[in-house]
Amino acid sequence: EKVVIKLGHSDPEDPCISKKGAAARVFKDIVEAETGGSVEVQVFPSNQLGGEREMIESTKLGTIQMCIVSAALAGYFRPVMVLDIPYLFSSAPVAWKVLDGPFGQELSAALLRETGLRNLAYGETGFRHFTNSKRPVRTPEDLKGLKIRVMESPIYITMVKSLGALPTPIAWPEVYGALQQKVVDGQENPAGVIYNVKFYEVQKYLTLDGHSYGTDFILINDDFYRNKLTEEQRRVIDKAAIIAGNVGRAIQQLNSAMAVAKLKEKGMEVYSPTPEEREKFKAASQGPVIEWLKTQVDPSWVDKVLAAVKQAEEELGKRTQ
Amino acid sequence: MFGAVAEMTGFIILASLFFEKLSRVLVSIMVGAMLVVVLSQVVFRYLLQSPLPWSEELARYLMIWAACLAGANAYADKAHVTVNIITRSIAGRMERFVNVGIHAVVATLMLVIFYQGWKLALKVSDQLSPAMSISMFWTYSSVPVGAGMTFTHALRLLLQTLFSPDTRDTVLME
Amino acid sequence: MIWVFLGSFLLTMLLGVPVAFCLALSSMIFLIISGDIPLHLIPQRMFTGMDSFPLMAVPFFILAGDLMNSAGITERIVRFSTALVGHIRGGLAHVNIVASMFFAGISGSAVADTAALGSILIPAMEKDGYSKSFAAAVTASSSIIGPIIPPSIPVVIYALVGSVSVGALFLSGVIPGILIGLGLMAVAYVISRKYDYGTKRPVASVREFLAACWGALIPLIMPLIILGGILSGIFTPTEAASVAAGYAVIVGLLVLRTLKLSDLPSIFYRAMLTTSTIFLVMACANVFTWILGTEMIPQKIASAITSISQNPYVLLLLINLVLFIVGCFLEGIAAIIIMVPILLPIAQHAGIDPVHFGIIVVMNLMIGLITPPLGLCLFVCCSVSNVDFVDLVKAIFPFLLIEIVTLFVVTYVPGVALFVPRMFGY
Ligand code: NA
Ligand code: NA
Repeated sequence: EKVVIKLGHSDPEDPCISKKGAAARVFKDIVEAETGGSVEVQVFPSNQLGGEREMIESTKLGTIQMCIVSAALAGYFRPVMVLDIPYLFSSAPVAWKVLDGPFGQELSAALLRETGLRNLAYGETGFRHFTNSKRPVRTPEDLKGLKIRVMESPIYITMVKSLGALPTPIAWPEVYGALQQKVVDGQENPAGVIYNVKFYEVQKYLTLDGHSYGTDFILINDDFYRNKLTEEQRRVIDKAAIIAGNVGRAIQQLNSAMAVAKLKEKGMEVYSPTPEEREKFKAASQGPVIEWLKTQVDPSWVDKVLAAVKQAEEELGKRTQ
Repeated sequence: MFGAVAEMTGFIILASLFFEKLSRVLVSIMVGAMLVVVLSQVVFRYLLQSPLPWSEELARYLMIWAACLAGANAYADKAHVTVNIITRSIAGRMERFVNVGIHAVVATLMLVIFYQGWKLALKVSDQLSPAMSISMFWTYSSVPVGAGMTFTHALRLLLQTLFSPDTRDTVLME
Repeated sequence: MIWVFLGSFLLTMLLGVPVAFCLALSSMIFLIISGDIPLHLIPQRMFTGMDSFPLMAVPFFILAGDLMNSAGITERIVRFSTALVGHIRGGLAHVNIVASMFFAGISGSAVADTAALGSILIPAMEKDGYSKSFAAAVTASSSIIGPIIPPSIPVVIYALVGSVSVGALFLSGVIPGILIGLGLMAVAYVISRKYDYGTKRPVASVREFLAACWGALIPLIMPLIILGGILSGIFTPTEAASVAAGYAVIVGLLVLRTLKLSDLPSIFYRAMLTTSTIFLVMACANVFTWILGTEMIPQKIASAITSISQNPYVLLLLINLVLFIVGCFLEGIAAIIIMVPILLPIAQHAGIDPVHFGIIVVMNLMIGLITPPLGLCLFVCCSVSNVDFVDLVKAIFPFLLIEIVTLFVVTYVPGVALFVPRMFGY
């Protein structure tokens, strides 16, 4: 009998402009081909099955079987917040090494134990950068007094506050208008998002500070995984998810690089901070966020991720930084 | 047997009337609070230059609670959007028959939503809201509570329609 | 199975079960039959359907309208409109229409407009020698300007369902709203000439005019605060609604002193009662559309419509036709919630601007409010004025016609809707 997997994500369907769209597409095609059609993957892009928070809930409760999500997972499993420590990863290869290595496996195992959500693989939402309409931002001093739209998340609120700016939560559908009418001065998002939602029309300055690395999680309901799939089907799904995660990362990197070039073309002033300037951002914000995080999650998670990053950086050497 | 039914009926009618009054008070307070919270949000961001991180979430959850409680009362008030192309053209016993059917269907539906919603609220209680970090139980429970109240109203209206000598079924309990 | 789903929805709706519950009920039946999706999908989707900050504009705009009404603003708007256009032939008919346009600036709902202005102006017009059915027809047909000129509750809902900027949509309604007003005035003028209505009123003296202006200052400032605040970045469109409500509270309590502090709780309660009827439809439709989505129904309808034609002009005609039929049977906001997720992707695919499309949808569905057999504003008008339904339908026909013509102009000349938002950089 045919098994149907409903897979939801929040990105557009088009695999060329969307990392989650690309990951979902690759996953679907591999699984359907290699299981001989015994598993059908129905992909629902663009929040058709609800927002991220809701999709995770639905996957957890078995209403749908899979989702590809990012930041909202913190509402269900607090330790994933350590991945949002500002200026944690100095580069994408470091992040990949940490997430695909023992730390990432331990995090996935804990997620499974506590929530019944199996993280099949990590993808990537991308590094987040600040934009604003007021002035070029090179150091934390330049951020001082700017109203920055953030997600409703204490980590981002703490980070933006510690950098001297005024964190302002605004609902996503209102962000473009709020930037345009200057209700707030700036916002922070990956370059691909900044380009896709046309923030370049209402924002002049982009600072490629990469303050946090957005992670994608490819989640499946574990009960479904263990009890509704054959061993052979599980093997195909595991493999397909890892490929999908890597394709998502690749598409994200490609889009991000192209987006920065296109944002320049659209008239944005792009600034890439020097390592010294980046160190200043890090010094101002990492401490307060870690302090807050240690009140929220088992502090050992913070120590573990910092150790894993250090090790990955040593292994990769200075080349990647 | 008959005594127990009568007692149950009396209990439901009392519960329905009590919920209606209680919701009225709570909804007024919640709407007032929403107004104050959203206006403060503007004042703190624009005038005082120190945006509130929690105001939006608080206002939103107040709104959902107020809507669920008011939605239950709206059923008792027959204020919900209805297509009455057929019901408008029938009268007398037929009308009473259709109304009993409507209230019975709604009561059943509300019972299901109440039960499922309550289970869901318990299931999500380990989940925290992003800004205020309160358990999602406190927000998700709005739906089953509203459904539970609507259930009592539907039963009350059903009983009134069945036993009222008048075909207009609103007058009995005023 | 999908036919059981859609069939049970239509059947329960026709039997008179509230629309919101029909949506939830048919979803429940579907889930029980299909068996593999847990029933807690219903409360979950109901919750997330209401869990949205921009929705907050709905209770606040309703509240602002209620408060202004109980603060006696309606009479001031009527007096001002009389000073402005009362002397033209068919005076009170024009007053009725112009007052609706000003009232539109504080109210987001057509039904509220019909009730508020109708109860004052229909008796006044009758006394002035107009036929009752004509007076009722003018009232009903002009009331739909309310949700077209900003602020507007249907627009807020469309913006949310379609992820479109509320600010741009608000601005896009300005010119279409004025066009409808002028069209209705033209029709009223022609009819008044024919039946020799309203020839007695003299031009207002400068003194009278200034007094009327002064009296109307308070309500007229409100739209300026709303749009001004949004455009100058003081607040977002959602917050604007709360500012409008706050302004109305202050005006009622402190400036006009027509409200007492002790009146507020019951006004708050009534506003939320009205809101809840809209929210419940949103909540239950969120379950319904989830099932439609997983069954890929929107895609199927879309391909059925696009298989007829790919031409954007033809598509717009088809979509308008579908909306008009739906709007004749289903209340406007419920129709937006159910139809926009299906129709907007088709429109976007054909290269139609989502803001432009939004105003088409809203105008179309508002016209549905005054179209027999089920136009809600017609019923409100009948109950306010005691006019026979059939007489009203006959009298409203020329007005309905000019509104349909205006809808076509707005549909096929995108600039009419998009000129103002573009001027403000949207
Ligand atoms: Na309006
Ligand atoms: Na009018």
